[in-house]
Amino acid sequence: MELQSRYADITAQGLGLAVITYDSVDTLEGFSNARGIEFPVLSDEGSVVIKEYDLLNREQAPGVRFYGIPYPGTFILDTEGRVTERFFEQAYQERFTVSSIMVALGEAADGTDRNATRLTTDHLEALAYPTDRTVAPGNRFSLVVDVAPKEGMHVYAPGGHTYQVISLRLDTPDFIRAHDVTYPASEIYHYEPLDERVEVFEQPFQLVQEVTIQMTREIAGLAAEPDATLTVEGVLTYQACDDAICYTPVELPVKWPLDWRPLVR
Amino acid sequence: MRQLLLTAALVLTLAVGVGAQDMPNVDQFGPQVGDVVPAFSLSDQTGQNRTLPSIMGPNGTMLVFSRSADW
Repeated sequence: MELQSRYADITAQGLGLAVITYDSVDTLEGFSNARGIEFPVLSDEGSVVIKEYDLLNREQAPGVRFYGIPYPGTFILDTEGRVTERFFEQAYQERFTVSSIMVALGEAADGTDRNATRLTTDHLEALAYPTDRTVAPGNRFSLVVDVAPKEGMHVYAPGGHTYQVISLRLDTPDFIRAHDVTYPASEIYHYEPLDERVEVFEQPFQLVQEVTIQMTREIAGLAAEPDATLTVEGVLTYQACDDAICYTPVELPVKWPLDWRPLVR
Repeated sequence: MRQLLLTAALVLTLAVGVGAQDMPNVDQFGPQVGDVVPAFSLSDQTGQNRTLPSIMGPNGTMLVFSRSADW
């Protein structure tokens, strides 16, 4: 279970962890023993809490086996029990990976052990890596690019200007859905000769591109093949300038190699 | 004019609501960002009783609603 493998990272962020399902205590005990689960898994038999949280899956009719399951998702709560973030997927087969949630929560992502690709141009250094080395159908995870502009360089952040904003374009197969890229807060560059103030990145920053792999029978079959791999390709586009020159816009091919993980039922 | 716009917005909302019935938008379900979640008291896999305060870390907690562990 992915949560167990990331449990130490979650507690390192000062967060507790608990999972709620509609299973009996006996079922959860057997499951936890079989999988070596160390965090609390809570039994909500009758789905009382699931209903109280307004998360009852409405597509399951009363009487059928799966009646009572929640829409699966994750809440991050502060110590007062107030929701600070929520991660819910549209399709019940789809879910956020823990690593992707941790990056969204601002965990300092570390590309060194995650199939990272290093890119160097005249203007910047970049490290591209996925939040998860292995992915399964239904996973929502993130493709990350850590960008460090070279000394004196800046690239353009989204804002009220007409310069070319640094952006990521994915060239994905149909079964991968790309969500919006998340940009960090930008800095303001003051170009004194024109007294112009523009949103830029001068310090190292991180672009996060969330993607969801669709869950279909065909894709599940693809993931189950021995040594199956998947490479997501994209293009990082930017224009870099320093105090004297604005350089020609660059299109930099980026690859994120991944291994498939078959679905475990 | 404002009244007309509101009516138009309402009709649009209803139309979207009906169209989306087969595929509900999960974003609308459950506590939203800023809401305080309901208290609970549930047994964990060892039979120990757990509440929100008992699953808190120093900075809060990650509360995961999952499908069944049984399939």
